[in-house]
Amino acid sequence: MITQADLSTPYFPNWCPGCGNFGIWAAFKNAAIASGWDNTNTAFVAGIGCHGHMVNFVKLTSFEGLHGRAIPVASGIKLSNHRLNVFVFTGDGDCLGEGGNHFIHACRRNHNITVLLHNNNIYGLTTGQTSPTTRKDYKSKSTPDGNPDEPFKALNLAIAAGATFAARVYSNDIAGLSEMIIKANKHNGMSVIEILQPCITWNKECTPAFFTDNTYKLPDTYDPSNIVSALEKTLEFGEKKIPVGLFYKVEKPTAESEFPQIDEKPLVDTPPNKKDIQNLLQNLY
Amino acid sequence: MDNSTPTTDKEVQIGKYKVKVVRSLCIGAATCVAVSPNIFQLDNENKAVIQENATDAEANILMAAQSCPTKAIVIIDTETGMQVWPA
Repeated sequence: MITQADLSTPYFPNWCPGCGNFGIWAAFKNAAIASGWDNTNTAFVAGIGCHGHMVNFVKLTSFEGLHGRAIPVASGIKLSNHRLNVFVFTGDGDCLGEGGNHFIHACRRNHNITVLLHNNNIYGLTTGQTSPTTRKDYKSKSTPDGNPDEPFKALNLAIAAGATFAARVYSNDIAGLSEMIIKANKHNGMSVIEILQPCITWNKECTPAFFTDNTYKLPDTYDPSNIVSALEKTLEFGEKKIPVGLFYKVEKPTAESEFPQIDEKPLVDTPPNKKDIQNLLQNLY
Repeated sequence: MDNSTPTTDKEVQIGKYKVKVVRSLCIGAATCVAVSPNIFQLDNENKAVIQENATDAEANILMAAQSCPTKAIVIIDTETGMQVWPA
């Protein structure tokens, strides 16, 4: 049985007071306790950004990748030992800016990992520059005359690229987020949870009040297996029009299931198949 | 979301601390809930409320207060009579 104490490190988070990362941190730990995730069965990778400090505040085997490179590290872990629960913590800048290429191809290959995409619509750690999800015309340090670009719609991109589980939750809905993390991990394939997150310090638009006032839960009648309606739903964003919940879920072969070498046991348990390559080398000289 | 009766602006004794949420300052950032869920929950108006008869380590309660962006949680040490937070 896993307890809060098992997951606690000696460090208290250094995020700004009011940061949405606190809710994500609590939700993930609650999910780990409910599901029995520990160092024998779980690993996670974080990228660069405020979210990346998660490696210091959750006592599980974890790695911090280079900027934008959390996903390839995670997919490597999963391929090496596909029995592990593998999570990625990544930000809107880290995942969709520096790591955009990794993100779309991980979705396309349907790696069996869970990506927690902290979306605060800003580069928070570097003090508030425009990110790939910042709205058009938003004024920031990097776009003082207004952002000239249209933002990515993260879930639209994920589904179009091939992710087989796509959901959105507000960071301060700690119970709902915890439940969604468990559901995403149980899904066999690439799971992306876009987490709407306030950046109290640098983004004065996406406040807790903005998210509570403008989000609504997808109704029970919504069918998450329909890719067309899911893609349409991901385009919806505005006043009183930010859907949260499970947008899309479909069963497809995972990247890991395409490798017969790991059918019976994980790569990490398979001894190297040593062969004499002297003859091959001789041919090269 | 907790639906119990709010104890807003009401001081609640928890160990040596007297704790109060200033409702007018609370913006529903929920960091106190993330840090000390035993003590703090959000009510239907997304304001933090203190759970009756709840307990937590004093250090954790203090960290929950310190993680509030609007300093809406006030803590008084009843042994010394001093306000611990906001300092």
